[in-house]
Amino acid sequence: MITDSLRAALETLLPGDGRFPGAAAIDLVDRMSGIDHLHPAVAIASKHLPADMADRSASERTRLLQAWETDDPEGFGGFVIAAYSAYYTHPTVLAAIEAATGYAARPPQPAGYALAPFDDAVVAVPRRHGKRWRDT
Amino acid sequence: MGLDHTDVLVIGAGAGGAAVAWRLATAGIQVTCLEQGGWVDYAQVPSFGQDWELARQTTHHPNPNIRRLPVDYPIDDTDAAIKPLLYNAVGGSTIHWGAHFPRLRPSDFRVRSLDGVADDWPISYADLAPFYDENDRIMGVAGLAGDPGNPPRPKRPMPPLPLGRGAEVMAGAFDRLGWHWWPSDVAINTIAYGAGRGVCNHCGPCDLGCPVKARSSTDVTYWPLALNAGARLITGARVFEIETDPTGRPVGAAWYDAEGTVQRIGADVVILAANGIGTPRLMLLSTSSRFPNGLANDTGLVGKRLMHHPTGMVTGVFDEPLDGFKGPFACSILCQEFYETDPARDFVRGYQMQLVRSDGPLGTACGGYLPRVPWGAGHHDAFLEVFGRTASLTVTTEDLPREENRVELHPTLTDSFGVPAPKMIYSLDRNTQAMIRHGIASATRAFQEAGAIRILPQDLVVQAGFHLMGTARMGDDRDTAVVDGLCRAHAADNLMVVDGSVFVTVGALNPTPTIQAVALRAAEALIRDRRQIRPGAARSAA
Repeated sequence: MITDSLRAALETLLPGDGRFPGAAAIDLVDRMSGIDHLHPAVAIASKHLPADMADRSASERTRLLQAWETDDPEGFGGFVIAAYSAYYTHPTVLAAIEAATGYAARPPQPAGYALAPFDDAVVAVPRRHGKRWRDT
Repeated sequence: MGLDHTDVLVIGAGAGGAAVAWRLATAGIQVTCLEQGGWVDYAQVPSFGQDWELARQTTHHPNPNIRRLPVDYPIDDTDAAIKPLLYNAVGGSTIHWGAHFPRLRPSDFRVRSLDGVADDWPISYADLAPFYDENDRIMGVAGLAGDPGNPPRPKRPMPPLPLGRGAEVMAGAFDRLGWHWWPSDVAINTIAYGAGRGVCNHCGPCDLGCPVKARSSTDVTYWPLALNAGARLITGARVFEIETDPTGRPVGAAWYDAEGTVQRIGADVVILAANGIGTPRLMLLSTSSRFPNGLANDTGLVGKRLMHHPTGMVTGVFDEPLDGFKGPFACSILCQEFYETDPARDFVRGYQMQLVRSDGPLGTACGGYLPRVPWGAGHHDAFLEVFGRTASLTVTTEDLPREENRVELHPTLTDSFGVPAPKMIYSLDRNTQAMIRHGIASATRAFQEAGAIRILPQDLVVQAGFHLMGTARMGDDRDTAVVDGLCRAHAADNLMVVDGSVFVTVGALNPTPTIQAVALRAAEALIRDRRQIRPGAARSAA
């Protein structure tokens, strides 16, 4: 069944570990099917993946994807980007990133971020440089 | 006067179109602008939502072939080494730009005289300087005067952006190497500036549209002023032909409105400002017995000499958090150490290195500034090694014009209204390839000096066709140029072009301030010499 093949491929791309959920744990197939812009990549993957992908061993699944990547880097790359696009915008994954790095699992707006203001002292060296442009 | 006629018709409401419309309207000239897109609704920009990075990859991608919005037109880029990035909206591509705001240098206008390649512009830096200044005032510029790397300029209206940790690290490396750098001029509010606009809160993704209206785009700078001065702006107007009289003189335009109904408007002067792809497309679409190869295309140069700023990229990974996701993604500092021609090198002209900050999680994983994070068992470790710990230097090179790099009409591909789509044909020459190699070596050296623990170079960033230039070049000689130094078509003096199409050469710096300065200068000349706007006088003078 193609959904099973797709699920197996995504789990091979994005396996879980102690910090991050695997693709299957957050039902990445379902999330991708809900995002119109990702459908073409999913369709390409569905045509490319063998129907028994889910029945293959982990090492065999990896070899199959590596072969696809070698034979058709553009098509495979589109599939990877689509998978990452769904994965890295999933709330569970963003929460995992926050736990691992401190990066806040929130959108950039409206809060933005604080940065120290520009300090003029930083240009002390380049300010002493001579003219670096040509007259015409 | 109704919709059927206007003194001046501007096509395209982006950087150049907005500037020219504002200046003409303030001089009392009746201006109508037709814009294919609509107004951006800043309450709806994706940076308020958790899926903001997904929008960047899909609905708000700068490449119209990926974005695929109804308002866009497709561009065949199968034979183009660099893919097109542009936006259709009031504000044009300033809606999604990074707002890096450098001026070209004086030498950029004299490459034939100084370096023996390409052609000189018919105008100079000095000709444009007062218009750069005026444009700075309207757009709002943050930066620091006193840069020894560029001609003197007035005190910037606003102080520079915060550098952030990545720029501080790289500035120190440049200093130790003895390489010149300077805080970038940026069109971003660092303090209150301009009516109805806010101050940057360093959220990062300027390219999604700035809901604070701190990052300049012409829908929040020029257009409110232009409309207040009486300019008329019609959105959802998909122009498909510049109409001409039997002598070939432009008399107006035909367009599809949002419902697909053909509309027409007459004009004494037609000004094209639809970018380096859209403008030649429209000229090539507008054939007549006088211009069988496209409007004002006696030279055959319309669409030819397409130039980009071919871009390499080097990313350094550091063993400390740099938090590069904080702050405007494209702007902090600029190194022009290798900008001018050096006979000791294996290329002519030069490049800039522009520090860019870093991405959010999805942008990091997908790559762009750095290669895509590998999939599979080691994926999460590889992601954590780079996320928030990188800074990148672009190697932005000067492209030289070649006629084989071009925009033409596609024989079968059309937009959703059946209007023929453009096709890009573009490749890099050996000079540019050598320049990129040199730039990658330089950027790598800078990251080594800065203490990066890994350095990841990319030869050519494919999704980097953000500067579209040269396809209706300027020049004094009507046999070798499409428009003159005041942006008037040699073959029809009531037709003007005020976008990147007119660039003779392109330097190695972001073009928007120059596009706008050229547009303001062209508007000033039109105001001074109004004969085209009074048809009777124009025809008797012709």
